[in-house]
Amino acid sequence: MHVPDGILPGSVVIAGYAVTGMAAYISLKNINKKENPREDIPKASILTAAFLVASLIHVPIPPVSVHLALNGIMGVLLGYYAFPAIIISLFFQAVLFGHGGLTTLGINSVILGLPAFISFFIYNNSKSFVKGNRFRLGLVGFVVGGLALGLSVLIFFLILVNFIPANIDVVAEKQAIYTLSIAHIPLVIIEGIFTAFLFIYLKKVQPRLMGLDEKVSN
Amino acid sequence: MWGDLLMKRIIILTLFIIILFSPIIAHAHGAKIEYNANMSYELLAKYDSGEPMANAQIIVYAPDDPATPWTKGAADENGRYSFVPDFSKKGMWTIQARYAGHGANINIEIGEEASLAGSTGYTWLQKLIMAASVVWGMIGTALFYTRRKN
Repeated sequence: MHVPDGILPGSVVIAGYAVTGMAAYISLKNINKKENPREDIPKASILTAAFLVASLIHVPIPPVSVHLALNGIMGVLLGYYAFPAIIISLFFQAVLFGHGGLTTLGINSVILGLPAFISFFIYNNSKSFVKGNRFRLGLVGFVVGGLALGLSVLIFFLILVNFIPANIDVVAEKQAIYTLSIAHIPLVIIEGIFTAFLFIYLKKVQPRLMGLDEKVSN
Repeated sequence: MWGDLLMKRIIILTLFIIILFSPIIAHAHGAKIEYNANMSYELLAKYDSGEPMANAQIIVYAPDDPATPWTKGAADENGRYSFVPDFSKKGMWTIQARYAGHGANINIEIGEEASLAGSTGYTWLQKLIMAASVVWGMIGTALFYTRRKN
């Protein structure tokens, strides 16, 4: 789900940067409000590396290959740090590996970063539902993990379908976009299951990381 | 005396006939080669994972008009596509492979600076080293911000 250079028209690319700039500004403003803004930088740094590595591990789902996004996990674990972390990771992916591109860095940040924000807010509002229950935590993990990737696929799909250049075979490209989007459905479920197990594990070994200090009940 | 003169004339006449018809004789055993420089460029479009970009749309832009496609087509199931460029249009040709919003561009120099082969992307070893460098940088950042202050 990394849109490369030369695929989207200039207006969409500029709009992507505008939205990303706004989201980054909101994120940094909220980070600065914290008592110690540097406190979570180590966590953000490690998760940025994990996000980068995850993009290199491909899962073959014919006719395409896809990879874990981890943006839901980033959102929950990093909160307002998630969006800047995603921008940094996407920058390295574009410059080093050619995943995405520099002109589409803004739009790719929107595709992966905005769902991370949404996951963060859903998780924060579901803490009273979880109440330290492992099963409920897993359920929330499944929802936020799967939803984040699902929303990313949806944004990716809507942008691409609506901005196909006229000089290519529009019907064939639309068909290809539908195929790719449908191919992500199994990955949405895999991402949800992975997030659920990770949340349960982190709650057990490092509950502070999850923003939950109470002990896990069975 | 007359006999010698006659013999000389016969020899000269024979040589004249041989010289006259020699191209025909030579032509009967000759051969020729014609050639047409009809070189084509074969492209192979692949994903980073190494899988071919099956049925990817290929758009070729000539150097004189980088905004209008010079030709368009589709790769086969193995991601292969061939085209014969107009060699009179020297300069940088741009070829884009695209499938479902994914794709890549490659620039090919055609003319005096033309190269026989080229590619974009990196080997898995290069990627591994780059990924390890970034991960190490991130770990270093994490360690820097978790250091104890004296």
